Amino acid sequence: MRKYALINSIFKHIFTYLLLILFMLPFYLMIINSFKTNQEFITNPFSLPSSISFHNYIRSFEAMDFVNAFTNSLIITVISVFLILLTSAMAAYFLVRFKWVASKVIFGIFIASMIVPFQAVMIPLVSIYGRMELLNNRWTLIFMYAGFGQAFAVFIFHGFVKNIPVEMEEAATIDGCGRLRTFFKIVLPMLKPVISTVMILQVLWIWNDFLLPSLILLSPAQRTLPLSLFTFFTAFSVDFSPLMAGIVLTILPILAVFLLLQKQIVDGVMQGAIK
Amino acid sequence: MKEKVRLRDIGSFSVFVLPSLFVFSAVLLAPMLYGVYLTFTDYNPIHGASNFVGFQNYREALTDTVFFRQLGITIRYVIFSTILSNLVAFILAYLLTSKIRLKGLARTGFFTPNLIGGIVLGFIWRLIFSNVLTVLGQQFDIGILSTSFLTHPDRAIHALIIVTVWQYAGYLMIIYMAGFMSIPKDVQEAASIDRATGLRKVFSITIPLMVPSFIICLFITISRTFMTYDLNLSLTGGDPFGSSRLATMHIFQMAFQGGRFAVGQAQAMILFVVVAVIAVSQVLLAKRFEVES
Amino acid sequence: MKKVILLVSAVVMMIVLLAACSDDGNGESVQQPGTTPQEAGNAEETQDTAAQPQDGETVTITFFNTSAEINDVFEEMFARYNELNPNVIVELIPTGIGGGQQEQLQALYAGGNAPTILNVDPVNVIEYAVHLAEFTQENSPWLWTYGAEGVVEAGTFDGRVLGAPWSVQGFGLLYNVRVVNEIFGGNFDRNTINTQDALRDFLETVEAAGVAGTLLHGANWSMGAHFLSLAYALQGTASSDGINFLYSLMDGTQNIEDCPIWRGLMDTFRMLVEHNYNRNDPLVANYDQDVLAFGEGRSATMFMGDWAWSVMGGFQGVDQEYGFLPVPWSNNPNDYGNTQIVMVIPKLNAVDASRSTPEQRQAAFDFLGWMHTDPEGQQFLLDAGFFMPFTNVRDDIEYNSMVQATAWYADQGRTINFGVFDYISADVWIETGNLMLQYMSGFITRDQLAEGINSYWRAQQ
Repeated sequence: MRKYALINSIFKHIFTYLLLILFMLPFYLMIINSFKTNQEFITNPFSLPSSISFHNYIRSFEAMDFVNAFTNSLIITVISVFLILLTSAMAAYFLVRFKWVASKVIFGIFIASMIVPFQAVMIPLVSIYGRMELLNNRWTLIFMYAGFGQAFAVFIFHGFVKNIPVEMEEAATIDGCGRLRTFFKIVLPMLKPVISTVMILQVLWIWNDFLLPSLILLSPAQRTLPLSLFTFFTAFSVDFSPLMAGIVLTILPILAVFLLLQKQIVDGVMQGAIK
Repeated sequence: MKEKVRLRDIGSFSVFVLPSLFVFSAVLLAPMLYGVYLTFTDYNPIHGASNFVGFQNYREALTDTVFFRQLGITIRYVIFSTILSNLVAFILAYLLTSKIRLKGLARTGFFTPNLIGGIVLGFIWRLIFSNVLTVLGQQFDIGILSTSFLTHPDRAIHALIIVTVWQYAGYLMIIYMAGFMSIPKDVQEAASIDRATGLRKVFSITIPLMVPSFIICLFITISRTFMTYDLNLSLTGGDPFGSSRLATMHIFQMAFQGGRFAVGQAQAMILFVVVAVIAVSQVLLAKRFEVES
Repeated sequence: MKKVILLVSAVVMMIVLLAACSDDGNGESVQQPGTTPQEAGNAEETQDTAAQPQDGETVTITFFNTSAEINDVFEEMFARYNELNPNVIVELIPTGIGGGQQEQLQALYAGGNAPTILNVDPVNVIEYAVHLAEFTQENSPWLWTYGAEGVVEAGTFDGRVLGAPWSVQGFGLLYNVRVVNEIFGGNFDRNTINTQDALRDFLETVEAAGVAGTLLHGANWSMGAHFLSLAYALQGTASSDGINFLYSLMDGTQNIEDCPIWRGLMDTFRMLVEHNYNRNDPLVANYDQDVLAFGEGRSATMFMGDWAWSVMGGFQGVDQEYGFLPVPWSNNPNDYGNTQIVMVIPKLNAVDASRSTPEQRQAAFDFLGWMHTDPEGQQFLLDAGFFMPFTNVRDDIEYNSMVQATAWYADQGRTINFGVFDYISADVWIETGNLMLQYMSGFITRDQLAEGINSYWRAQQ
């Protein structure tokens, strides 16, 4: 029995690590090529860099106006995600607990909206907001992200709120807590792992998004990180090596967020908060 | 008394749901409805002003045979991508929630594809398909690899599926992991005492308990893969000769490059209905399964 | 949990403050010192300052740029212009690559955010014509004073001057001078390639020496917008000849396979395909790798334009000398096209009239005047390797060899008028280019290709 378990475990490890290598390959390519010259890259994208030079990083840091773009991205992402999480968790909670017909209809509309391709609403969207003279403003962008993020977040929260036993809330209500306090004191803490999951996925989407900010933010001073990467696109191809460096710079912050939050997900669930 | 309670409920409704509903409606619902209205006009973003044309755009959209051919390709792509990426994601989540070393590193590693945006991802994989695999193919004389996946009408779509699976697996893994972790410890322990081991445990206990995660993940993959655009554009660009052009890309080319915006918008609505029918019936089907378990 | 909420709120507050602060800083970022070109005609020379608003009021104009490869050149140029004219700020609206550009511009118009200046393909100028301001001798005298022959006409549509070109590019069969000279004993004369037979001999000799005869970039823009469109352009020396030919394809009075020029060109195409460096996998279409292979002498020629220099110039250890050969389509050296290469105006600058104020419009015309015809403005584009169609361009410029090759044909008047390009939208080159690629890789026959091209044009109104 024990021998079987050992073999099983070894097999599992080998399998996992092999898959891991496969998954990391493009990431690895990105890192090594960010240290090469463009020509080295074109000649052989898989060779190791002949020398470690941070030239590309310095170049993209300057060309992207990194500090400014980073600040813009940070502001937009943090506020948008905060708004999405707060409003959607509350909405999901209500829609689960109050089994009105209206709740079902609203939830249905949320779900349906997830199937709408962004480009199908893109022109109507800018045309409406343009008429209200609200474009070229980062608060409009944040508002839009809050709107576009709702459906997905409500969808996920909805699934998990269902699993929270009502009894605990009833106990709190008897203790004299109002709805809001019950929500913040009892429900929200139990949703912690899910909040982290939704947060990761939303941060990722907003941080990397190109199309929406490209339509809303026109002035150079407002550019976000993905918008600043345009510097490395050329007519028929891409200026690869500095682009790679630029992307590494762009994704490092989310990588940090991910590392932080994934522990939260795992720890939170481990504590048995759910079910 | 009864009256009072209902008032209070409406009060909490406006605190809990209205903010969410308001931003959602302002950003998505209103433009969507406006978009539906536009499909009955000859609107075009360059000229703006529009006249009512009735069902003309839908008639044109429905007689566009290329659109339906591309829709067929898209459905094939969605089916394979959905099944494979969920399978891989489930296996990954299973592996990473069992006893294994360097879990944290592995979790991060599997997730990294999602950190890189679709456009760059496409470029990197383009190189892998055209430069790495072909070198391997020529070296070891493997016929199918000796020319690039991306230059053959059938294989380009396979390339698209491979990259989609590779990208979504890590994303879905996160959700499946949350599902795995939420299976109560005592159930698992009870199963172990029952000597249910390995695969049997997975099939008889884990999978039925994971139905909610499956519903979420399947819905996400189906709806997102139907809308794949960035990756399509940067990996294959629809090449060779339009064989890997998915429905969304066809619609955008019609709307923005072909100058027939309203027809494209009408096709987007048709696509929406198709996806809605498929995604909703999937959820309903799975729900029934959930009740039975 | 309360603590967490407090903490998050604090972070949000901080960021809101930060956002408020950084808004104030916006104006400053423009004032970074740009590059200072050498001897400079000063800004005072640039046109009447009358149109510039008094009292130091600032005018901001936006510049929508689809020449993605020189986004950074434009940014430097705008910064310098702002130094010279502190009350005019030119803001770049950069575009991504490929299809995204059209979506973006349409979204800008739909949102009432039309850019002041558009740097776009001629076909877009036709599409947006109703929104555009006319260039006149009053608002832009420079266009008439300094524009080379044909420049004003190139931007004239239905009698209105809507666009100003700032560069001319040539395309044809680029050849690597070193490689060809080594194979042909040092005295290769480009004038000798003026018939299909001459080209065939040339390709076979090169292949016999172990070098690929040519290199076709297997992308639909190269095969569709450039190669196939040759058949339209060669219908006659006037733009209208090609355009009328397209109309006859649309109304069905003409089938493409009945046109001897097209048939001849397709024979030449077959020949090139047989000698293609990429023949094992013709559709890979990696632009950088193709240009590098050509620069390293692995193929003797490449069907491409002088814009390839923007990539070639960045490579180390590649050949520096290139010339152009025509793409002959018959065996009569006197046929139009057998001794000429294509001259194309890839981009036009246009000024929006739908959303701009008169001040912004005049500021835009003045800025374009500086960019196109002031020595200091021109220098930015000359440094980037462009051939500018203005009579006052410095004559001591050392162009790269590809631009020189274009100029060599231009000087002798051996050029093909590519005015028909104004009607080649992205949709055209994607769809018909895809047909060319199918034909190239043997998926369809020439009859099917002709049928596909015919039915594409018939479907256009």
